Amino acid sequence: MDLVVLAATFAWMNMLCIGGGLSAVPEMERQVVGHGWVTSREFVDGYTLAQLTPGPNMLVAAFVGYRAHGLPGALLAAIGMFLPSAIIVGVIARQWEHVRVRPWPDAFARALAPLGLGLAVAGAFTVARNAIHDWPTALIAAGAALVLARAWLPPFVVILLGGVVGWLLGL
Amino acid sequence: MQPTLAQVLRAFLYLGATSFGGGRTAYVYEILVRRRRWIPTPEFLEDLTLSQMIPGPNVTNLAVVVGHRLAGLAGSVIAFGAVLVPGAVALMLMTVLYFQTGIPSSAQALIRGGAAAVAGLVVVMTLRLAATLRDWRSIAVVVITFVAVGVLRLNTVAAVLVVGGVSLWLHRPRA
Repeated sequence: MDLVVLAATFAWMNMLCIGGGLSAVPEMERQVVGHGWVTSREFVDGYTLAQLTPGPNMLVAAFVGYRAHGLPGALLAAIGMFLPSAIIVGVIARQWEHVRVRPWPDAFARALAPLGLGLAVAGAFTVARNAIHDWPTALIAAGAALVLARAWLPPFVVILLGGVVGWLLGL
Repeated sequence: MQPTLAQVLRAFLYLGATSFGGGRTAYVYEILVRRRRWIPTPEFLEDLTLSQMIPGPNVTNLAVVVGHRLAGLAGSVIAFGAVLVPGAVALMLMTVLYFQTGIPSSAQALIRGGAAAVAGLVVVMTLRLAATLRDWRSIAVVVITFVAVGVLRLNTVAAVLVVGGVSLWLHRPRA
C-alpha cells in the first residue's frame, strides 16, 4: 500500500517540476520526510549522491524509494518521477505544429517561465539551508560558488573538491 | 540530417552517462546541435521551450521532444530511456553502498562537503538565470514565488495556482 503512495507522491512531484527539478525540491523534502521514508539529512545526502552521479538530479526519487521499499520502491519512485510528464510532452510534441501559433499557448509559455524560475530559487534556498549549518560548510559553499561563477572548473570537479575539503576538515 | 535509431540511442546514452551537475540543457545543445548537427538551432530552441512549458524534469522532457523530432515515437521512447539508465544504475550502486554497508564517517564528511559545494553551485546557477530577467512582471513573479515557497514554506501547489494565475493574467495575449 505504501508502494502506491510512494509512486503517487513522486508522480505528483513530477507535476511540480516547473522549469527544472529544483522547483520540486522544497515540497519533495516536506513529503518524503513527512511520510517517514527518509530523514531530512538522508534526503540531502541522497540529493548530493544524485549530483555526484550523471543524469537528472531528480533520480533522487530512486534513492528515497530504495530506502523505503528496496529495488521495487526505487523503480516505482523513478517511474512516478519521470514518466507522467514524458507522456504528456510526447503527446503534445505530436500536435505541436498546429498548436504553437495560437496566442494562449504562447502566453502560457511566457507566464510559466518566471514561475518556474521563482520555484528554482526557492529550491536553491532549501538545498542551501539543509547543507550549510556552520562556518566550514558556509565557506565550502561560497568557494564553490566563486569557482563556478568564474568557470574555473567544471561543476562535477567542484563538487568532488568540496567533498575532499569536507573530508580534510572532518565535517 | 536524419539519424538512425541506433545513433539516437548512442547519443542519448552518452548524454545520460556524461552529464554532471547543472546546465544539462546546454550540454544537450552542445552534443546534438553543435557537434552532431542533427537539429538547427531555432528548432532546438522551440523544443526547449515546449519541454519547459510542460511540468516535469527538464532533461527527460527535452529527450522526449528531441527524440520525437529525430525519429518519431520510437525516437522519443529510446531517448527517454537512454538518458535515464546510466545515471540510474550509477546512483543505485551508490545508494546501496550508502544504506547497506553504511558509509564510514570519513565518507560522511566527504558527502557533507560535497553537499555544501552543491549548495554553492545551485545558488549561483539559479541567480545567473534570474539575472537574465528584464521586465518588471517577470521579476515580480519570481520574487513572490520565492518568498512564498522558499521563505514562508507555503504549500507549493497553492502558491503555483495563485501566482500562476496572476502571472498568466500579466502575460495575457494583447489584442
